[in-house]
Amino acid sequence: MRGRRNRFSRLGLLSLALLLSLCVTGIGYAAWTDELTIDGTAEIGYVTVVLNPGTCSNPEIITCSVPAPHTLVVTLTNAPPGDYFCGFTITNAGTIPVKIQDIVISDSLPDGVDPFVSGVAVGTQIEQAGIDPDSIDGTVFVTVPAGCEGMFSFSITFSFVQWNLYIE
Amino acid sequence: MTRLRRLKKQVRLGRSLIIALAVVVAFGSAGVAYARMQGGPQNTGVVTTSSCCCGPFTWVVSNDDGAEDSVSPYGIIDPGDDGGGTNYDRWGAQSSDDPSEPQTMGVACARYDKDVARTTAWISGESQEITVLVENGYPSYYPTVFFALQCPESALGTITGIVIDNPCPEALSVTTSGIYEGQPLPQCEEVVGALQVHVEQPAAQNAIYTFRVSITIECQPAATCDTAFAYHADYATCFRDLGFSNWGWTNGPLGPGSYEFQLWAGAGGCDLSQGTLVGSVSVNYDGSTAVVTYNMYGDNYMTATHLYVGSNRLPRTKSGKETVSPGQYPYGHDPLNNVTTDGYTVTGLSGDIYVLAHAVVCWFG
Repeated sequence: MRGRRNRFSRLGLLSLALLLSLCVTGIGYAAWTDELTIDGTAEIGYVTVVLNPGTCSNPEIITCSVPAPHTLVVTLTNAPPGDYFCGFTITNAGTIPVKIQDIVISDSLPDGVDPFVSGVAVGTQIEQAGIDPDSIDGTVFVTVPAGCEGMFSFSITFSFVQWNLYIE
Repeated sequence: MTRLRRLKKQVRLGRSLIIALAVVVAFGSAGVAYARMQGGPQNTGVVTTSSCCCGPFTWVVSNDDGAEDSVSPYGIIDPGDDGGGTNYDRWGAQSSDDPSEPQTMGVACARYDKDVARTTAWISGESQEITVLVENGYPSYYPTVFFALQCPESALGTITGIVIDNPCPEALSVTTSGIYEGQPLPQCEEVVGALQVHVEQPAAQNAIYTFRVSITIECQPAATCDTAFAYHADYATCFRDLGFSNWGWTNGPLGPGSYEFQLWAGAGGCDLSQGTLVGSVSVNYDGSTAVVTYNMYGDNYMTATHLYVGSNRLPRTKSGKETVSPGQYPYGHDPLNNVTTDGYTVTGLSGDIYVLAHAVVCWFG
């Protein structure tokens, strides 16, 4: 019986020793493990380009409008043969500079009508609002040859990209 | 009646044992839980504990905050961050032309000809945290943030984890360089790392993306190293009692047999209460050969050992003068590569012998 009691006492002591060692291990682990953090926030800017129609040379014959963003539609009605033009303005209202990546003129035009854009071109850069030049004026010229006096229209669509993504 | 009493006692003891075990588990769990709360490896929160062992950030530098920062002893960390803006100088002197590639510390990097975005970084949270802010970022913007961390004199550490929590990897690429898992952090030695943020094409306009880099460091106290000598209560004679000013012991005379010595470090004046028991030395002497083995306790290690075994109480110099200087002992392993055990076999002995066993021992705590 005495032997068994001794065994129990020994087990008790072992348990206590284990208890202490576990506690010490836990607290030691706490004191000697550390974590550093780097917290980051990235706020992204934006590109907002506004296309506005300007005045036209003969408003009763040639008009322009912007029915969709970045698309200028020019309409000629009963235009006698001659030269006509309409102005437009491109404004960068965003926080990132932009460049014109592409200018596409619709191809459903009468024979001999070959409009062209002046003042802006592929690669033209427009800075952000508040930075000169944040707005650029352009003009569309169109020559109506004889035999095209009816009503017709065409569109000019501009594509913009942030300046450093421009592909030459 | 007696058997009944015995049975009751057994039941009582068994109950005590179960309670003791329950307490063990409870306290053990409490210890580990406490550890986790203090910033264990799986901690995902910001640690603000002041009991930091290693790695408070010592400095942080952004390469697009408009200032070329000079940090001793490296010099200018981010050349090119000169506060200028070739075009579109949105931020004035608070930013520079935007980096278009990762920057290497001390080397200028390619930049766009625009100052559109800005990146600032600062240390916060009791030096345990760096905050990085990218403003007006855009696809292809590529700022780099340099930082340094350092262990104090009392500790050395290891980077055990670098976890980048980036919920939108399609919009942002976040990488680190200069630090790596398993990297040792010697005490008092700065380690410089860098963080690169790249805004990707799918990044949405006007969006705000956040990320977090968690660097886990495990530290241990720096080792203390000191000279140590073997001591046997029955055979040791302090050098001071032999007319020397140094401390240490010669042990003998020893006849054939096995002996176990204590190895004491830093026991100035041969005062054991001043020293640290760091290991043991065993001597097996068969009358002609002595096998001497050094063994370290715990995590202690040795960087050198020197040994004298002979029939005189002390070794002698070439001029025949007694010496206690370890460098004059006839046997030595110096240096040793942080070993925990070392041994010698000395032959050609006879009669009683004396043993002077010296070691340079390093220990923790």
